[in-house]
Amino acid sequence: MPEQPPNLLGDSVAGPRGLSIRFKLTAVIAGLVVVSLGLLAAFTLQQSRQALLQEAVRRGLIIGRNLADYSASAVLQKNSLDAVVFAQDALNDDAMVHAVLTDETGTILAIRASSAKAPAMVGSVWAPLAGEPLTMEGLPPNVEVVESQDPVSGEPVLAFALPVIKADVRVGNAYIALSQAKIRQVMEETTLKVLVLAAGFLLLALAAAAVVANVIVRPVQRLTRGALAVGGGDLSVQVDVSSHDEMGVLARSFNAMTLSLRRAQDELVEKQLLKQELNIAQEIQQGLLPKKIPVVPGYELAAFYAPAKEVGGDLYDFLRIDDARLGLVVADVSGKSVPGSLGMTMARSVLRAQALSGRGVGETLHKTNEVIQPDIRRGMFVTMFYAVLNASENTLTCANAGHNAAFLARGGKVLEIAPEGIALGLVPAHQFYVDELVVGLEAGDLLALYTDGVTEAMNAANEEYGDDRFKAALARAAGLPLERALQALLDDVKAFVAGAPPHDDITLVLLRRKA
Amino acid sequence: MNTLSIDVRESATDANLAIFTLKGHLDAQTVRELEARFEQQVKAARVRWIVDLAELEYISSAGLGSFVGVLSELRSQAGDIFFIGLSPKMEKIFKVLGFTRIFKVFAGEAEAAKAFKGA
Repeated sequence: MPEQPPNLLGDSVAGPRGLSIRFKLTAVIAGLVVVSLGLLAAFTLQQSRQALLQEAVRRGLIIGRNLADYSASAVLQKNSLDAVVFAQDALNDDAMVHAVLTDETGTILAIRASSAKAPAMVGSVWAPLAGEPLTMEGLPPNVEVVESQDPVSGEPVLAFALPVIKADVRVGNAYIALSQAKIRQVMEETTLKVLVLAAGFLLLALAAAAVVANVIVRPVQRLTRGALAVGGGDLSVQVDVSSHDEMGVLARSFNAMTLSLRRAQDELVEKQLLKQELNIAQEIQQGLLPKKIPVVPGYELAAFYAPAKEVGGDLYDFLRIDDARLGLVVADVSGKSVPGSLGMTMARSVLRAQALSGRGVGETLHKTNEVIQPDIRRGMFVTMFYAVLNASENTLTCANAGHNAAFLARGGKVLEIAPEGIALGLVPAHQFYVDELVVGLEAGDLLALYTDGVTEAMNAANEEYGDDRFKAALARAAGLPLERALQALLDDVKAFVAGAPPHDDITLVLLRRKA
Repeated sequence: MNTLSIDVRESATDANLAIFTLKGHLDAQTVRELEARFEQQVKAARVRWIVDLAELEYISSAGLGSFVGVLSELRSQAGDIFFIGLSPKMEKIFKVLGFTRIFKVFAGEAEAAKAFKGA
């Protein structure tokens, strides 16, 4: 059963909760707009009030100055009748509340008010209106202006106090009060206008904030959706991007990230599939190997097989032909993994059928090639050393289809047994060629059949173990008990590669004629 | 990761002749690239090949098999593969596998090209 592809990201992540970025962003922008509009409105109102006040002061000064100038002679003479005329004249301006003329002691010479009721009487001492003094640029030093209230109506007024001067001598004072109602009215109107305008701006700003937030938030939302999809295990997600700003960069990095995640996952899946395939291949391979080492009188046998990480497709086999004769096979298939194992299975079955039908070694290989060649995968081939031991005659009949030479250790020397031949599966029957060789076995002879996993074993420096080292090791091991000889040979290879991982299967079969 | 560099050159004198120069490692992985190049040449009806192995550092059985795999197709169109530049080690491999009985091996490009002309 295929395993589920692992979710690299762990559990999936929940979507956003609480206030959205869009809301926060809009609130911040709106807040900023409200504060700046408020400041702007306050500033504008302050400015216009200042301007209105200045205008009122200017007007009051003109009226007051005129009153003081025109009435100077009347005040000097303390002529109340004339003074009243001037005071009345001053009331011609509709903002005027009252006008008062006093002598230098403050005694009222004339008093006129726009309302029916005057705040004081002629002959009494005038009490100048108290209030916050105004300081303003261009205000003459001998004039006092205060913001005050009309003592009659209580409405806010600007109260002016000016000296009345005749021939450089102060002869009295002129007091006028100017209504601030006009200013207030204008201010109220202005405030209303500013508020309406501010409200309009605020609405516009909110709309703009929403639009801006949208522009910023939309790619974020798209990325969020993408990231959530990735979190849910969908690694095919790609986010659309056209911008080249920070969001664009982020989105592109996101796309690159999901792509590499997907590749990593694909690789993982592929690795798992490969591993499964290798496991299957290994199972097939192991199934091909003999379960027991056969017993042959006068002879000893030992065999070793170790698969590489990627199964290389080695095989060894023993075929009991009759009481005296035993077939020995060591083979290697060019393909790896399942196809290799299947090719080897085919070669082994055909060889067994041919060998047991009583043919000679050369003819057996010939027939095997003839049967498997049309069916084997194009370019795949099997190298095979096939020998038949005749234990009663002490002979070994060998044929070699493209496999490594066999080595025979005898009396401290090592002989090569290398009959020529073409590997199985390469060429059709009419082109196939294989030699046969018969070797007589002497007491103590040690024969080694092996695959190139032994002689081509490499150390970390990429040097090959090689035929010569193997032959030397075989000569040294020749005198040892067979199992120990096998171990000594494997140990020699192991010592040479010094921990480098094997890149091919290792197969070694030993046959000794007992002394 | 071992790599294979494949150079395929058309002969100046024989339009049917392609010269392959292989460098690096020819193994189960890199053989796929080589087989793709084989296919290109077969499609172009260039079926006489000289394969130079002088700079090939390593050849796996899968690599060797690829030459046999394409051989029958070339020969059916009166083509062939001639090898040149075999190192002593490569020569041994060829001999053990019986490749020397399947393929012709020459000392150099000129000799191989001449053999094609004579064929």
